[in-house]
Amino acid sequence: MIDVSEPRPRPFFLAYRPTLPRTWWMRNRRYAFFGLRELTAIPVGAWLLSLLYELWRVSDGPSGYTPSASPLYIAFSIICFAAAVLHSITWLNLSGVILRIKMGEKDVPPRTVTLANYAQWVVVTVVVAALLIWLGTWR
Amino acid sequence: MSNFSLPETSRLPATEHHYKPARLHGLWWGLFAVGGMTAALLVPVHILFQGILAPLGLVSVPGKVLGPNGLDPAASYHSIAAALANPLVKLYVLALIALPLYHVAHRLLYVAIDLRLGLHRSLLALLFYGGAVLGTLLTIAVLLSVP
Repeated sequence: MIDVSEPRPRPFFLAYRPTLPRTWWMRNRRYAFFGLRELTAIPVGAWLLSLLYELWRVSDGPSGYTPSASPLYIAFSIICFAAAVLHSITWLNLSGVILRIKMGEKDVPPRTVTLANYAQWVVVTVVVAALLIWLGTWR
Repeated sequence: MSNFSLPETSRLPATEHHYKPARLHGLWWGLFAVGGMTAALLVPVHILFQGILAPLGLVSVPGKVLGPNGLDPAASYHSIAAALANPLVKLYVLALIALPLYHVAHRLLYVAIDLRLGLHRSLLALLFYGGAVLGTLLTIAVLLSVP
């Protein structure tokens, strides 16, 4: 006869068996892309620390300051730029789902929030670029 | 008929449970979110102009000013020193560098947890969030040391 009763509960020491291998992120492209998205944090952080290093060199006075502009530094910046843009795109795409803005009884649609954030990114980029060029003329 | 019944506690209304709010977790998550948004909106334009276009000699920005033959170190120094002399610029740079550090720390903490390194979660949290706090203090120290 088939037993249709509740399955017997597992003993407590077998209840949770972590079976996820360390290579779980290699299972499919979505997991790998998730891993890549998380790892964009490394180049973003590294570039900000390189900027901090340049600012620290300013405290040495005019004789001790040389602007970073070697081919190696430019290559490093290009890699960091790619990672930063990937972070921006994935972050802003998710922002519509995460940020819930009340509008009367309903929420603002996620698409609208995402589009507004992209518009904000464009505006901020243009303003910061203009400020950098203007500050570059200060002495 | 079954004699099975739920224990008394599980039938209490939800309001009777005493949940402990994870305030510290909320603080780190909030800083992750703010830092992530700061990084998303501000970091690409800074890398593009200060890290790529100015070193290539296509545009002048504070710290990288074009002279007759490539970057002019003296003019570069004076432009960045003049910009940093403004307290608003100092505050902006502090936000630009320090806030994303909490985002980086949070993401790398969860990368370390997901990679199942075998290290205890609280040790990793101390390492990464501690690093972000140290980075913030270092940024403040650097900004204060600049004339």
